[in-house]
Amino acid sequence: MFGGIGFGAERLGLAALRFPRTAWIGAIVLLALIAVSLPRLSFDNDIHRAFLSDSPLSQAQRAYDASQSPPLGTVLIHITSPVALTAAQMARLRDLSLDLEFVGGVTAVASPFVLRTPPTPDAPSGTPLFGPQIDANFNAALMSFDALNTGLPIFVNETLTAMLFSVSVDTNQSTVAEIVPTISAALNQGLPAGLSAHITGEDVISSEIVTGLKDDLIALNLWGALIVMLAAAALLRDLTVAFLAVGPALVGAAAVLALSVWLGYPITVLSNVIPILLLVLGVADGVHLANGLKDSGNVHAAIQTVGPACALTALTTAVAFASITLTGNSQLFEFAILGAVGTMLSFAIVIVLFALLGRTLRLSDRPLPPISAAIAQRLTALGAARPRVTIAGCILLLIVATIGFSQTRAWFPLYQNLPDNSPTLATNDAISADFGGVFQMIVESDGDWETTRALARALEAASGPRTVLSDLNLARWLGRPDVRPSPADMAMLPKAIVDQLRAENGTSRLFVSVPEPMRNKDTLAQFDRVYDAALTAGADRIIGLPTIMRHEAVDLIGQLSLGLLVATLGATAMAAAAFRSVAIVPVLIIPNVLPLMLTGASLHLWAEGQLTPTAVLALTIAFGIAIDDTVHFLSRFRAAQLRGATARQAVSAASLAAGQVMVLTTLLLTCGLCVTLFSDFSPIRVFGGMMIVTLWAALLIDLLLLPALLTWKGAAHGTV
Amino acid sequence: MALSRLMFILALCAPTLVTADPLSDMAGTWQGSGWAKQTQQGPQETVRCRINNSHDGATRTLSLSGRCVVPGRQLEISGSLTGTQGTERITGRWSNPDGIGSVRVVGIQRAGIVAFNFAATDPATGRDMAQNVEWRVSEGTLQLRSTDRKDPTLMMSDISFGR
Repeated sequence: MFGGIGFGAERLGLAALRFPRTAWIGAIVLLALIAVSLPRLSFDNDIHRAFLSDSPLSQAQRAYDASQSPPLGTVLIHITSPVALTAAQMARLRDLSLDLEFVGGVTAVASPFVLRTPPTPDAPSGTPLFGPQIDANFNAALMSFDALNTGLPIFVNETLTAMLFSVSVDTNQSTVAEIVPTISAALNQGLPAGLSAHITGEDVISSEIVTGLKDDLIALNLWGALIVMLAAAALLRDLTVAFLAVGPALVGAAAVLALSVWLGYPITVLSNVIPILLLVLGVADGVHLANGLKDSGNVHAAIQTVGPACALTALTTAVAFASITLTGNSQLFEFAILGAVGTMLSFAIVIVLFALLGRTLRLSDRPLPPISAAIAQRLTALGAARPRVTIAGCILLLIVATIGFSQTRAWFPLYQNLPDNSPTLATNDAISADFGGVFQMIVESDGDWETTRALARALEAASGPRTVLSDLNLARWLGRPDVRPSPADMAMLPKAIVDQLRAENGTSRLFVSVPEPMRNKDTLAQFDRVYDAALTAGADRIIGLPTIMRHEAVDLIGQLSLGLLVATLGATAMAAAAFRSVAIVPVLIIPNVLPLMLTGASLHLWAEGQLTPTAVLALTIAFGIAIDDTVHFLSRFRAAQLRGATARQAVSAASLAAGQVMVLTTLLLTCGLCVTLFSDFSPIRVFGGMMIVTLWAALLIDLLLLPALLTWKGAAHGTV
Repeated sequence: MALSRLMFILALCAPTLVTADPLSDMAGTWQGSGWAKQTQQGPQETVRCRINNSHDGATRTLSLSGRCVVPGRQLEISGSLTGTQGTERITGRWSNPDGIGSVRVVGIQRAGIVAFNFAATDPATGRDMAQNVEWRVSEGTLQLRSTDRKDPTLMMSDISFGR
């Protein structure tokens, strides 16, 4: 049976002290492995794969993706002019649309220039609206086509100031990210003077977000680590202590990135927060350990004293991550495994490197800044002096914060993940206004022609004219709206479009252009209206990125919230087991849940009350930070009690030993996290802001409420 | 009709500032634009093409491959034309998998001009189509023109290429 609250995990550090040569060799080999692995780190460029689960919707989406042969991506080009397009500009744009067909990987370019009048004997494929010569009254041709009431998009807005090209890309030949620069070059070369063009589309947005986030995260992590190092040197007033506190934590965070390589898990928009969390916890543990070393002057004693609490915080965090697997959500499985294994790996690295460096490095005698001890002592004394008032106030605050948090709304705004300076958002809004939207809802029907017709009509009524693409458009164009187009009829369309409209098994597909569902309340209402219309009209499946964002991402937020609840309970149970005390459960729950609820409720102040996946992940980390502080405080409290101190004396001792380090780590991590506030990405700013709010809420509540709970009614609650 | 046939033949015979080996002059990468018609009375459609020709001097064979696009449709094209030593005769195949398929062609080559004709059935319309095709190459330009075989005054395509 392992003894102590760390379940003996701290013995890893003690073993490193006992076998330093072996430990050094192991550490160097591990460092080399990490260094070799980091260049092979991969990021998942498919942003919506992160939101797919085992649900019927996700399964239908996967089946659709798998049925695409070749798999197609879409690039939208939005061309705008300050005044109505002229015939000469139209001719240049026609040539541009044709030139784009020669870009490697492009299978089709849909534009106004593909529009044709219905077929005749002399023109069996129809007559192009725009022949080799485009005359000044070209708008009349467009109007006459529109008058056919086919429902087909005409790709030009009513004022003739905007045009849309939809470029289909065979992603087996070229990814969308690869092809965008080529398309941009073609636009630069072929776009008539006075016009401007912006590229967007589901895949383009996904690529822009992932690329931007990747660059931003790398920069922020590097700057954050540097600032934490500098802040540690300034706050701890000892470069060696600063190095001991931050160095092992940085290696631990890097090891988690390497772990993702070893496990074959690409870093996703969800899992990229794990290294940051472990850096935060590692630095906190490093400061506690370094302070313990400073106090005792002996690395062995420091590990024996502080190590168990560090081990317990790692174990509770690992359990919190592992608990997420209980939600049964497949997309969270890799996240949970990487988090759980990574936490223990990071802890092992931190404790071993601390042991090895601690026995080598000499620390100065300079004490920690007295201000941190003064703050900790003042708050602790305040809480212990009026425990009943403090507890009642905190419970009241918990109720209010919980109500506030419960009023947040699960929300997935993809647009917020675009960089602030990205023109894509304005382009998407303009496309939504003129052409329905950038995103494609895909409605599948296994029924007969009548069902397809009913679906098309219902979707057109709900979504608006020229926003639905289906067999019915072609049937109307052929002048036979009551007859399903034959394969020969369909052959008049590009094969890529035919394959999209008709699956091999006979399923009909209807494509609806919609705005981003959670762009705002109006777009959400519009999406739900179209979605409900499809269901009512007999759709068998409704898929596509907007549907995934509307339903799967929101479900994911629910799953993450459930995971957070399970993690809270699991980590609390773990800590209670470590302290072998059931009575400690309320002491753990209230101070740890309150910062979480406060941070969640604060979303009303700065994020319009939107509970995004990023926000839930920040809350999960918030709980990790909160319980970390609590465990260190309780560990010192119990150690003092074991030495015979009363509850009040033990609280004071814990405040002196752990409290001042908690203040220091909070200051330190706040400095490091401040860099996130300068990010180009709103979610990263929200994430960093939530972390900072949590750090301070956890600190204040731990230093105020814990002493109150531990001294209230003396021994009844004051023993852990 | 007779006059137009005569003009077509005269065109083939017309002296130009080109070498006597037009197949080899057609080698290289070409970009073209112009128009084409699907049927005799059909509308002109804008066409752009990019082709890559290679010439094998030993076999006197020009291999051609590339892509032509009309709005809403891409057409992969390929073919080969082989000269016969000591004569102006050329033979070969012309392939358009999305259109007429692969057909045998026979024609002549003469100072800057390669001309051949073919007959096939258009799978889209079921109609028989027969065309005279003429390539003119000179000074870095390449001109493709085709006419209807029944009525050579009826132009079916006119595409100008440059390098």
